[in-house]
Amino acid sequence: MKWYKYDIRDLTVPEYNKWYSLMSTDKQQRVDRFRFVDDKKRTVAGEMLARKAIAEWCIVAPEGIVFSIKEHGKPYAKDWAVEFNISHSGDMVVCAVDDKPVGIDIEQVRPIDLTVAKRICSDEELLYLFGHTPVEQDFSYTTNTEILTRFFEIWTKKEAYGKCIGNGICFADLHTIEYSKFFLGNGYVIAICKGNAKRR
Amino acid sequence: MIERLTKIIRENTDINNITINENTALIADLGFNSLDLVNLACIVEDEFDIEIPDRAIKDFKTVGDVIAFIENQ
Repeated sequence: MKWYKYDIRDLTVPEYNKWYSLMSTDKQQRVDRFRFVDDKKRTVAGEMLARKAIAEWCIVAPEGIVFSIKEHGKPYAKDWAVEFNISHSGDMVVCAVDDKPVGIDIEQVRPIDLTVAKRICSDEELLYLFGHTPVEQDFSYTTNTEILTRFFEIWTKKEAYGKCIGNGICFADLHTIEYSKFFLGNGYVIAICKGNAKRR
Repeated sequence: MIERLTKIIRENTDINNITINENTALIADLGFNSLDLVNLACIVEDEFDIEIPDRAIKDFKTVGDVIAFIENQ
């Protein structure tokens, strides 16, 4: 597995235009639909990063790669034995490639309302998140960086898992999924999940 | 209903200068990501005293989709 990161602030206009022109009509329409410029940049940068990552993995030209969508909506590169996944948050875009299913998620650590933690966290994760059995007041807007970092660690790991399996949950195969990487730094949290463990 | 949902969206995001109507796309127009969608579902659940299953959140493309779900409960 290899993974790459890119800062959209480095994306020049010629680069944007080049990678935009390689996108399918559907993807271009989706980019055009975005109201915010940074959303356009993140999506085009994701296309660029995926093409470059797959090109390096498969030793092919990035421009020649054709993308399609699997049954559950997960993108894949047609004609190439490679799996990939993209994520973006804030100014950062990341891409992971492997020859087995892979999922990656990045989140910028930022203040949020932790009501959402009730929905996505197990009791053990809530204990880890708050450092104590939470009370109702804990599930509120917070700027506490330590708590927020732990929340986004939990969130990115679950997102990376979901993106790895691509919505096609097969409980018999869950033992093949493992987390290979987890990073945090510079205000971002990144989790990578891959389906690489041996099937029993 | 649109007024209540608009108020929720404005109070929980930085979005203040965009007109929000039923056709407003959550991702394309409001810049929502997956966490924002789940967060919105949590707030809507509390506000309207309903339950929103995860599979329903995936179908929330526009503000109108959220309103339609609420009204069907």
